[in-house]
Amino acid sequence: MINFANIPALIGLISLPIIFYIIRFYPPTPKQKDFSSLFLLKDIISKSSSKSKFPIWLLIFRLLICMLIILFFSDPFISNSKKNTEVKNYIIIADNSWSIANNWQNFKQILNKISLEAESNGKEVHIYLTSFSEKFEPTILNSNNAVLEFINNNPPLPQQTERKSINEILLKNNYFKSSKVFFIFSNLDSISKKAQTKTLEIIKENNPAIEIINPIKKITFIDNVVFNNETLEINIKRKGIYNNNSLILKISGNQSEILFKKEYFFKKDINEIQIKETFPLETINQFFKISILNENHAGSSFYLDDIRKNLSIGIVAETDSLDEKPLLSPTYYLKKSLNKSHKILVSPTKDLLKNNKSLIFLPSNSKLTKNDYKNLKEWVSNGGVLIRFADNKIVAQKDLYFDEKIYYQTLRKMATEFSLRNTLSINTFKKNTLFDNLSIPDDLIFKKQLLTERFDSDILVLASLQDQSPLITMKEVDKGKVILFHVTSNNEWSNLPLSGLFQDIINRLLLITKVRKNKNSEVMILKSKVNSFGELTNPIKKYSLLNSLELNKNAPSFSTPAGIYENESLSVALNLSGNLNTETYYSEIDEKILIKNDYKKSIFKLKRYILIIIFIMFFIDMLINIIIKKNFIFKNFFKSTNLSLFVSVLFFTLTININALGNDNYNKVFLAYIKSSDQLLNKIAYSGLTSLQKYLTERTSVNPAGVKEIDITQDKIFFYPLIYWQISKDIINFDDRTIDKIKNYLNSGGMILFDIISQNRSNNIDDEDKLEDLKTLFSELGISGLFQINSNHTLSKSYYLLDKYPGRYDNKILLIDTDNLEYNDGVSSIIVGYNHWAGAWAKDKNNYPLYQAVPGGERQRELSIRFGINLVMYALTGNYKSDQIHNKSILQRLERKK
Amino acid sequence: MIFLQNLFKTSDKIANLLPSLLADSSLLLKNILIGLHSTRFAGKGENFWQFKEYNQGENINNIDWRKSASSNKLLIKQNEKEIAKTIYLFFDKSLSMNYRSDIVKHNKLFYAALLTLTLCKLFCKNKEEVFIFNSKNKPINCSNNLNNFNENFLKNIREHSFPDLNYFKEQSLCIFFSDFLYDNTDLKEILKKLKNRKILGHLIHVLDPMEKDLSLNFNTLLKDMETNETLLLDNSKNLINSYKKKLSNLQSELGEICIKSGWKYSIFYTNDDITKFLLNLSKTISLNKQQFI
Repeated sequence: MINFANIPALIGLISLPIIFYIIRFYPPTPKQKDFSSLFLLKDIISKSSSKSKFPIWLLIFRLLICMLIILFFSDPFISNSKKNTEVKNYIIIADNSWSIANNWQNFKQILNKISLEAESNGKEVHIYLTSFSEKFEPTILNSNNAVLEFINNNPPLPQQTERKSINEILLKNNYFKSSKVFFIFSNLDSISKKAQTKTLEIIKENNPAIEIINPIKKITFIDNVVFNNETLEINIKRKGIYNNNSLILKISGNQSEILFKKEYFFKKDINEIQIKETFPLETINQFFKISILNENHAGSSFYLDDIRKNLSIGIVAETDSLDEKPLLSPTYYLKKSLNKSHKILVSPTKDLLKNNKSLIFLPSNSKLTKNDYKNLKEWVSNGGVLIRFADNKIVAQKDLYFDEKIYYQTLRKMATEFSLRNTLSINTFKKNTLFDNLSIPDDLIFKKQLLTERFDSDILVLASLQDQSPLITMKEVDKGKVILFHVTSNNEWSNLPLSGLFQDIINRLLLITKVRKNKNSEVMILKSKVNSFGELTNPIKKYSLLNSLELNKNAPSFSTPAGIYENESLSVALNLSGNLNTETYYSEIDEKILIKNDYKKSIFKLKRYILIIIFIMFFIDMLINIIIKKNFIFKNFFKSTNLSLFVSVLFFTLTININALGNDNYNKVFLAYIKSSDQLLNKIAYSGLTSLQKYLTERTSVNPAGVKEIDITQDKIFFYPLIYWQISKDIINFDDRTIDKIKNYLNSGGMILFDIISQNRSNNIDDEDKLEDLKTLFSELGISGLFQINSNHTLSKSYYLLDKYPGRYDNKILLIDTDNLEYNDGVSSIIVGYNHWAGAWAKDKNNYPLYQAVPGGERQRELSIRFGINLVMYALTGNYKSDQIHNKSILQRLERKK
Repeated sequence: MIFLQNLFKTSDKIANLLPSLLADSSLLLKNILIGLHSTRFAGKGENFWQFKEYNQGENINNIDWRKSASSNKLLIKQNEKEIAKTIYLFFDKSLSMNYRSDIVKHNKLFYAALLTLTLCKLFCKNKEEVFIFNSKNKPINCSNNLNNFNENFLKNIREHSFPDLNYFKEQSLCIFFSDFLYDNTDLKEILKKLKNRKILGHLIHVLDPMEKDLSLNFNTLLKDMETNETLLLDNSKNLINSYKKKLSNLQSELGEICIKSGWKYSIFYTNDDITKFLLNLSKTISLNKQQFI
């Protein structure tokens, strides 16, 4: 049954007869054109003009297009549901808690389908979101767009829901009976099994017609996070169908810098994983957020309490010494470098210990009574961290680290005029230590330093000077730690406390402290809220907790949303993950309650298909237009006019790649060699020419683009200025085409260097045979004269001045052709030798020469390289160097040589 | 509007390209007759053209007695001037000649004038007497002074018309350029009369390629350039076919008229190669000339 969503648009159909009338009876005015004479036309047209002006079939075709356009706007759809008339409204009860976030798109799609159907049927959509427990009134919406907008404005909340209010509403029978009701239900969202079963029971009893749809396809979440001293235990669970068993855990710091990332694997068929990792305390203290990669919901991220923000720190000082000479005071720089957010108390030891500080600084020159000393010791062994600084008095002190051991310490003076090393700076910090990545300023000066003579292995050096003498040391004493600065806390011994490094060091040292959560009953305010996707956002509403202890009991709820709560002394995170009630996830649901995974809407929109048909018809109309107007048929068009053009364009586009390849050969200089049947020779030639190419680039302005191997029977050779051809055992027999090719190449200015490869340094009969073979080839090429090169030949001076042309061997003979000199500007196009030049040039992978140059050694190799360069120059420049203008300088150079 | 300068330039170009065919043919004629000549001076005489057998009634004074004695025939010595033909060039200046379709550069009038002028120059090279009819249908001698050919020759006339036949000398050569898109009974008469006066010539049918193919868009209103009549062109294939038929009918009619009166008929489409056409034309003209001799 076809229905229309937008019935008023159908009024447009009335216009069709009007259009028909207008087109039929008022044909378009023709274009006027001058014509020489109508003498011939007059008779013909009077006969044929009775024909209709506008083909009726075309008119009907166009009217059909108009009709389809009108239909398109009237938005037709085919509906399958029969009871549309009985339904008053569409009611959607939707869970919008944390698990929806990970399946947000799916959730939106289901709602989209329902609302589209409602819109097409002209019904209202009433939406209940189960998480809103305060006002449980439905939101009434009229259109699909409004529903989508509403959903976008109400993202899922990172919490679980009690389903109390929904139960109340479900009990109101009448309202639901007259409507089509959908319950988008995720069992992960129920806060308890009891609540869930109750809801489902009510549905089963009262409204069995309700369609229950589960939008959750898959979800992975952090079930529990436990810190046990230095080990971190995370329990991760997942539900749904996953393709891969891996999971990436990411731990990031306060500035969202990644501190830890690792992939874990679920065991087969087990959807739970226990992760146990051990970190040093100072690393754990930097952790801020634990999250699962690729999961976007509040259950996949866990925020840690930012307790480090408000450390309770004590600085030992006499109250009366505070005011005089503040810049010289030992406590001044300490106080300066500590962050203001910490709770700092500067007072005598007694008060500090009373206040239960987790970290105490003992600056230089502080006075400790015996009693104080004893108390401090006790405090340290109970887990306190004491940071103390050296001073002049400390030399006499024995119990340096409060551990009852006796140390002997001396004072070392540096930076005096008579000391050996005037300036000592801090040694760079080792990687993966506490002070890693801190930059050391250049202008640090140390004047004095405390040196301990007995140095236990359990004393850890955190920082040292450049001569490895300790600067900051740490010793663990029972449960606590004592950290000793070997300099004073003011600028008396060094200017370290004045530098920026001091602040960094102090802040890093704070990470060592272990902090106990001491929650008190103070009011806490929500500072940042965890949104549905597990990210921190600024809260819009103000939430406050009267008692911070409540955080421990509570799971996130509407009144206490997940997020980070702070007051002056504390910053505590309330996470959804770790507080999830998981008993409902795996509990069985009554089988009688049918839960679908998706909703199939009962209507089928035709809009899109009509649009496609309209486009196709428009295209056909255009074709008809062209055919009619231009008065030709396409066949003729292709036959007569431009077929050749089309073919050539096609051909051009096909060959453009080949052209590009060819252009490379034209535009760049390549060194080339003829492929022989001996693979080793090919390798030698390739390697030899490659190194020659390098020498050319280094020493001359010729920059060959590369080395190419040529199959003389197949490839084109006319791109290459010079071809290197090794003659080994293969007899040279070519067909006429190849001979012609070589002939053309030589006649058009090409040059070939034939290298007769022999196994010995001296000439023998074998080589002579090869030369004979070559000579037959030459005779085929029309070259008869081969003569030994004369001493004045351009080859001897085209770049370097050479008197011999050695290669791997030095056979002294080099033959050149003298036949076609008048054609090629006196340039010989064939050069024949026995010296195996490529062998001399070739290098192995390690850039060592492949063969010995005999008998001349490295000097001979150098000469062979020079020959190579000369040869390339000769091939490229011809007899340029034989011009008289060069003679003067060449002669001068020869004079010097002598 | 056709600019004279343009016309002259183009005709110069074409005329220079063409070998003086007429001159060649005349030279050929001279070469044949060399040896028959009996003047005391060897070589080409300045005015001497040829010997001709004496017909009764011709001036006895012209008889070359020496020649006649040697060849046993009465021969008249003719000089070149006398055999040089008088050539009349006429091109249609009616408004329909102004038509130009989009595929060609110039209108038909331009090409007609161009052909006229070029032929005039070619003939002048050969010292023929050339007359071109101006817009008032009066013959102007252009053989000596091409400057006589001026704007007056290019002024349009509303309808087609022919020059007065009294202007034509006997035994002269006429070349008519026109699109002949009108009733050809007049033309028939004129050619008949001209034939009687031994005036032969050529009809050159100048047509635009559009007039040949009628490849016009359908649903166009055509306006006659002479009469301002309008006609709606519809798209039936029949129309084009029957138009083409009619045109070929017209052409064969014209051809027939020409054959009857000993004239030659050729067609020039304005997108044709003008040099090629002139070459062919001048060949037929020179052949024609030989007929007269």
